[in-house]
Amino acid sequence: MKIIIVGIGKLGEYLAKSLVKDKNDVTLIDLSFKRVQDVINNEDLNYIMGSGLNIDNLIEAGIKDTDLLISVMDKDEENVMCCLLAKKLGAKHTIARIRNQEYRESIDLIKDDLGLSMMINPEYLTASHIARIVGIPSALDTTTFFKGRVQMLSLKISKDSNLNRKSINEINKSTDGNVIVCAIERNKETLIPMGATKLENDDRIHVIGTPSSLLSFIKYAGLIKKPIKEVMISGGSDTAIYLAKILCDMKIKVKLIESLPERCEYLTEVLPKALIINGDVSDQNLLLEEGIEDCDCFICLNSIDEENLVYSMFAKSINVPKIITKINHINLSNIIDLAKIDTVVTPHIIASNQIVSYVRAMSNTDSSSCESIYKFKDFEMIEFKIKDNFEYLNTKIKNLNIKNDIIISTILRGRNVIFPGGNDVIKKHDTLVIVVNNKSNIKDINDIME
Amino acid sequence: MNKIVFKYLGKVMMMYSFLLFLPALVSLVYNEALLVFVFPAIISFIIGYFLNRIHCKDKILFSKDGFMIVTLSWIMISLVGALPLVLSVNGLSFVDALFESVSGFTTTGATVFKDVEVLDKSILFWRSFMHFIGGMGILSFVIAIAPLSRNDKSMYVLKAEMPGPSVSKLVPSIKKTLFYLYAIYIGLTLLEFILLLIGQMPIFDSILISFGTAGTGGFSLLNSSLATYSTFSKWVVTIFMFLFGVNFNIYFLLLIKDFKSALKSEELRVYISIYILSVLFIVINTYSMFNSMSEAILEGAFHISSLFTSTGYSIGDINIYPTSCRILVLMLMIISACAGSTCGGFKISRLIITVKSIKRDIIKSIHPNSVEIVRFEGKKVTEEVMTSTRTFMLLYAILIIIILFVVGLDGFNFEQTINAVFCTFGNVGLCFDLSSFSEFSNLSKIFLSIGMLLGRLEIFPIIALIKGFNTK
Repeated sequence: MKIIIVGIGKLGEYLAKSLVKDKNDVTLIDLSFKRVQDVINNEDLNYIMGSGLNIDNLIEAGIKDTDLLISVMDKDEENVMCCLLAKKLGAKHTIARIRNQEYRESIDLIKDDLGLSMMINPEYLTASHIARIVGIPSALDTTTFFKGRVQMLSLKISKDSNLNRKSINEINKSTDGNVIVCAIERNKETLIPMGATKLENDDRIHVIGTPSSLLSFIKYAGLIKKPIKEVMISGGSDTAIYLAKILCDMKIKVKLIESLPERCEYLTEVLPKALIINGDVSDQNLLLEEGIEDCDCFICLNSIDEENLVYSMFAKSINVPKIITKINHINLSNIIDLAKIDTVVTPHIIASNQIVSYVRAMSNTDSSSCESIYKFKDFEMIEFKIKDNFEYLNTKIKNLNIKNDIIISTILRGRNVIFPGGNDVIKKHDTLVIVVNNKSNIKDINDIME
Repeated sequence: MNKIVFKYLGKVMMMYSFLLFLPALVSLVYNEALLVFVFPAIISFIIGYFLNRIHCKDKILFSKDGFMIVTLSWIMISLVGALPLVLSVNGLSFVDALFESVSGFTTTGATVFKDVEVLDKSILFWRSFMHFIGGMGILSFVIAIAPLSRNDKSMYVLKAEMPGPSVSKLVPSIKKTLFYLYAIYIGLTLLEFILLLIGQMPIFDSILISFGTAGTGGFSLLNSSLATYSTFSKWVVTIFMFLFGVNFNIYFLLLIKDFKSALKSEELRVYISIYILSVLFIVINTYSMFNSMSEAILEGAFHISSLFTSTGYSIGDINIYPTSCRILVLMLMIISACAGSTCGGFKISRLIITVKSIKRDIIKSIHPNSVEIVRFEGKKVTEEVMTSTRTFMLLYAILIIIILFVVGLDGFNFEQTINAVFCTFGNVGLCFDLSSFSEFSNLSKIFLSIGMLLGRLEIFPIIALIKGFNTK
């Protein structure tokens, strides 16, 4: 696929890297050479210096036979304008980043007139992602497949958990195979588990199941936590507004701390249900006074990573049950591991995953298509639709020669969800969720075979 | 040093050993000593195999490693490429052979053989084939073929090898870009080969001359270079020498039918203007020496093509040129043709950028508060490109002076010394008052070889290598 990315910030850069890794022909357009220098030296892509709103630049980038243009410049208006231009010049699909909530609603109305295939709002996506995690108190992270029928949770095995020192086979026996443990993170490494693999204390496991089976799994594991009733958010960013709105709708009490008085006024205006507190989060007394010890979840959404990290560590030290931290720079991930912060969200990765899955779905329309993905450090989950070209239709799974480090975790057949064992077969029109190691480049379902 | 450098070198050497089998094939056809090529091929493969086996983790390639890979690869292939010349029946001393092979790979075409007509056919083939390999560069060949590993930062390597102030990719992916470049390169070579055949040149001669033209090399297979071929063949070679001096990006633009931008290219326009003016100048100054006007035009056009694009074929005695023409030719040799082509030298794009930046500085000194930017091909030239262009020019001059001094020790006359240095540094290979480089001392030959490499790789990679060894 030929893809043009206009505007190279954090999202643009990450997106470019992911798309090049998927073997797409990527061309970048950006005004500043400095910002992209690192990307063009290290990645196999082309670069045009100049404005993405300039027709000559777009033509030079080959807009005429481009499949997709992604506009992620700073301003919403520029992104819309760029996509409009691209559509006129012959781009097949366009994606624009639109952050402003008010625009978003009005642009939804004229989306088709503008020729936009997709709008992306990293802040909103981040907020709804966080809200999903808050909704399941035991989970460190979560995502859904098959329009919510199947869910993935990451859980941390504690010392007194029922799962500690149990093997996967034992777990499968006691849960009737209704959930599948598809990845284990241990000492910064990710394992794709076999039947004999044993779980250990402090492991972080990723399990897939239906919402109800997962609930009974958590109960069985002894990891159940009381539902979250009170949330404290630090930093009144746009993400915080989206999040607070969703949480209020979930009947959760929200306390939002913001240091700028003017911003607080605005927040009170748009978030009538939330309690807005004007103050400095770095002030421990303020946090204690506002009852950080009693809140069930502390969410850091300040704009500076280092602040988020420090506040989260403070919350951890006074045993807040759940802490969610926004980190913008992934380079910091090593330190985050050291700080033992469980749940980290990175807006541009969430947004990029959304776009990459859209691109993969686009490029796969004739063969078995891949629909949505979930990336986590070393492994990915991919959703595939099975079509005619799958070579092993109706073969028993135990007879398939599947590559190491790949698990077929779920099959959706019609409205039924199957957690496959060795005797199950894959049929046409099935949808699969596959867990793969990041290093194996799976673009087509046939790639999973040895 | 980064271990991945060795791994890269290993890949290059292994790929290179396969290329050595092509001249071996020729020696089979003509029933000549086969071992001359098989032996170096085996050596190269073994070296490559062991270098490739060096264990290294997913290390990241930095800019300086790119320079190292390129320089070391070129040195290695030149060393191994000299072996057939040492081993053959016409055996050369190692220094002579090295000079010849560096001259081949850098597409210079300066030879130490006084009589090339007695050489084995396979050796003749090898000399021209070196031009063909060196024309596009050995690493671009390896990158085009070898699988790219996950952390491959080949752009650094390509940047170090590709001539010109900045590398532009035709399409987003490196492999596809190289594919197009090679398609253009091989396509043009084939076209020339066919046209030469139509002009009733023997097949072997056509292949060799096509190779030599494509790489803008200049090794010929007759002592008289191209003087004895038909007028038609001479015109074909003239045109193709000119065509191989054009930036390959232009051909790509023509391929995708973007004629407008192709014709708008500033570099192409300057190239054509300089070419036509030079031919006119030569013809006006020399037509009295020829029997007919058409002969004078052919000679003028051929020699300007040959010297301007740093090829180095000749069809007559260029020593008859008066001083004015000689000075012009010397200037053309320094400038040379477009960036992104197969020629050596300073490149027209650098000339344009330098002239424009001088113009800007002059305007700035008259209107101190004015704001001026330098544009090239309609785009702003970044300050970094301008600085590196100026530095390049300065280094070019300094290095030429150093080599001049060393070669001057041999006691040739002033003009011969200057000619020899300029024509090797600019990768031209044809020069006034000298037919063979065999009489230079070994020291001069080594320095001239270094000069050829400096000229082909455009100085920076080699300086970076020396610096890299110094600072570890």
